[in-house]
Amino acid sequence: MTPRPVRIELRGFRGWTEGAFELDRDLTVIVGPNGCGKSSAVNALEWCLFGRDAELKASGIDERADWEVAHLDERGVAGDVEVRLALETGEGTARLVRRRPAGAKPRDEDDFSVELPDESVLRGVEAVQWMGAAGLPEWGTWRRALCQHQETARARLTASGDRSTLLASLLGLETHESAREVLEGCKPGALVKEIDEEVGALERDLLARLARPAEEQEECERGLAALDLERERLRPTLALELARGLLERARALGAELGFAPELPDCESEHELPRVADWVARWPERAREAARVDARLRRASGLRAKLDAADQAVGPAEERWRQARDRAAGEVRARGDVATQERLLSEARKARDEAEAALRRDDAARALVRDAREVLRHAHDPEACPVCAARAPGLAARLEAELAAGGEQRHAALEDDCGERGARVEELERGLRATRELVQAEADARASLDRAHGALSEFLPAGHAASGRDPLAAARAELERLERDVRDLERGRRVLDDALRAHHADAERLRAVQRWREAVLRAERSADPTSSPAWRELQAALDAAAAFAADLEALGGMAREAQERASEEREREVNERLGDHYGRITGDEGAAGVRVRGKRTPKGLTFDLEDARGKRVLATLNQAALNSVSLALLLAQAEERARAGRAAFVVLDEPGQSLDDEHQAGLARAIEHLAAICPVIVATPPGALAERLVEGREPSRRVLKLAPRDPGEPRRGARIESREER
Amino acid sequence: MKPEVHERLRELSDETDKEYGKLVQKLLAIAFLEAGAEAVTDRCTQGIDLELTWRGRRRALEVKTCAGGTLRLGAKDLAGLAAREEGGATAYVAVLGGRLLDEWIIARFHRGELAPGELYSITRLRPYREAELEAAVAAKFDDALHEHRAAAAGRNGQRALDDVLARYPGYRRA
Repeated sequence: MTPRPVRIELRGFRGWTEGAFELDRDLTVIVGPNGCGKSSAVNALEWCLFGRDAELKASGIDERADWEVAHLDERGVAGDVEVRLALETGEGTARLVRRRPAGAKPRDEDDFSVELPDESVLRGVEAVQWMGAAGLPEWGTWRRALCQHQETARARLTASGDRSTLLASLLGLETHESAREVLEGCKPGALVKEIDEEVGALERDLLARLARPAEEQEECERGLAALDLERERLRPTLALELARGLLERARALGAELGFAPELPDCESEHELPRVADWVARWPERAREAARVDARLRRASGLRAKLDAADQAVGPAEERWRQARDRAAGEVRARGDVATQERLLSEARKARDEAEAALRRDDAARALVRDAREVLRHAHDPEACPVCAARAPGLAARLEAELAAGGEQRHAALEDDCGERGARVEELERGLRATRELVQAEADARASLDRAHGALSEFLPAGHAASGRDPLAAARAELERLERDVRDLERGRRVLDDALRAHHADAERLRAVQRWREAVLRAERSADPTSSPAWRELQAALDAAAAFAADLEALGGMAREAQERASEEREREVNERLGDHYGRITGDEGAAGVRVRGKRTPKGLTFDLEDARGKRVLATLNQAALNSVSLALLLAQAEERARAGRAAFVVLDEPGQSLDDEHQAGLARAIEHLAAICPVIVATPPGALAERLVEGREPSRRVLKLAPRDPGEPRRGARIESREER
Repeated sequence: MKPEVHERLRELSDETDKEYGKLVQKLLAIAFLEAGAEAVTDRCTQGIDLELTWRGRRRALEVKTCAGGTLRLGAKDLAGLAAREEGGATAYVAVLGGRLLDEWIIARFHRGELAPGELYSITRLRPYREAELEAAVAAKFDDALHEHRAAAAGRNGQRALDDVLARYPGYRRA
């Protein structure tokens, strides 16, 4: 069941301070003089449904330009606004409630809610969604198809764009038109064009891809020419040949440097990846296997040490020889150490004896001098002072002894003593010198022995047992080491040269492999038609073309069906429009006006024509325009109701500009529509009101509003009487 | 088509200009004969381009070449095809596009579906392809082009190809 309005409650809305009234299932007539609140009553319904959409100047309804939603009290102050619209639904009565607090700003949203029959309440977006789900119309539909306001009918019909939209809405041909546009878009020409464009893009891409391997091959060949591999030398087996050459040179290098390299098989192109891997690792492996550097370092070190040791032997030997010669010369000159020690001992003994004789002589002379002194002071110079014996001439003898003979002897003794002492000193010096030279010779000998010992360390084990001269053996070893070093240095040069050549060969091999891969890619891409993808592509193009052809056939049939449906619909709608127009004008048998669709480059447009196919608007007077406008509105609502969609029509002073006869006709049309969907009419007293108030079929409620009290301009609208018929 | 075929056709088209279509028609005739057509009639001046007997059935082909992806059939072409249909032959439109992704399309002719003078994408012919004929002739056409391209590109290309065709017992020139 589609929702149907059954009651409105207003508080503070426009001309109403407060009020409530029931709406009839069929027809509700609100009658009253101007300014009594009729329009406010019907406006309340749509304000409750659509809020600011309905009240704004941009709503498309001219009279909204001066709308004031809130009722102003005696002081001119706006209060809270609330409108409650009760709707009868299949589940019970639902209430739409819109509230706006006093002082709300133009951009503030209303408090909008839906109170459902189960007493649950939906707000905001959920409330709006419920309205959509219940089939209540949107603002655009409402404005075009379900309500009529006080503005002139001409406004609905004179703007051609609006008129076409309005008429399209009436015919329901918006849907037909969109279907037609879809079908137009599905024309095979468009699809085939898309396929061809795709094919073109694919071809460009394919050509670019096909050219790429050949360009790569060309680039590879240029690179190979730079590596001394001219294009004419290039052949499919070249990589294999280069790889085998690399392996052969590796084998030869191993043989030359004394190791056996582990080499991969290289019988076919399939083995080239493994060979390439080996080629990349070969320099490192070759150096490890040859151990040339380590061996060379060791041999060079050994040679340097042995050479140093060898170099040390010569000077040590020379030093020893000189020491030995000096010592030998000394011995020859002075005798050996033992002889000199013996001579020294004898010389010391002789010196000691001479010194003893000298000391005795000195003592004797001292006695003589003492005796002379004694005698010199003795009273008897002839008497011995010791024994008192008389010794004539004793003093003279003593004096003589001291003067001449004694002095000579003493001098001789001193000379002898000096000579003997000098001899001892000489012998001591000679002995020291001899000893030093002997020691020097011994030291030099020890040094020479150490040098020989150092050499022996470098000699092969067993050398000592061989009895060979260590120096000669060392020299032989040194020569052998030098030969080793030379060999190793040559080996290193050989290895370096070989690896340099290997690097160059490896680079060639890699370049040739890249070239070969590029050639294979170029060959593979040279004939894309042999690939499964080509057949799939052709099959896909065939399928797409077949689909386009099928669509062409189906599209043609659909277009024809749509054309027929549109024509049928146009016929039905025009019948209804004609009926309503005929009722209003009282000329029900006349052809009147009809809606006619016309295809233009911009799309389908609709206009009103007369029976002869001429545009009628220019020839209609105001009353006729209003009649057409109302007929259109009623036909729209009827179409909507018959289609099972929610429809209730609100008419605000629809009798404007109509004479009594037309107003009576309009009343007939309204009663006819009210039997199909609820209609709410606000109208001043007159022919239309009389007919609507007096009629009995279909059922109706009549509300008479009291005239506004001139003394109480702010009092608000009041219901004077209610009647149910 | 194969890139090399595409390249050769492009060269042949550049070198022979307006004769290109006729040369391709003759190469197609050679291809049919090589593929085993019992008889091939080459109509050089009037009516349908090629008539052939293939596996015991008479076929009539209107041969078209196009540089891009579109072709236009004249009223005489369509009338000729229709007449051959009425005469008991199966009629086809054989089209070779000039794009790499094109290949021979030998499409069954259906009277009334193609309007004279209209420009059609060759894609529109794809649903009506005769796969058997196309498969039989595709590789043979490439071979014929490869073998006779030099002769076709010469000063008397058509005559050279006629000489080639004349060697086939099943060939007839009308």
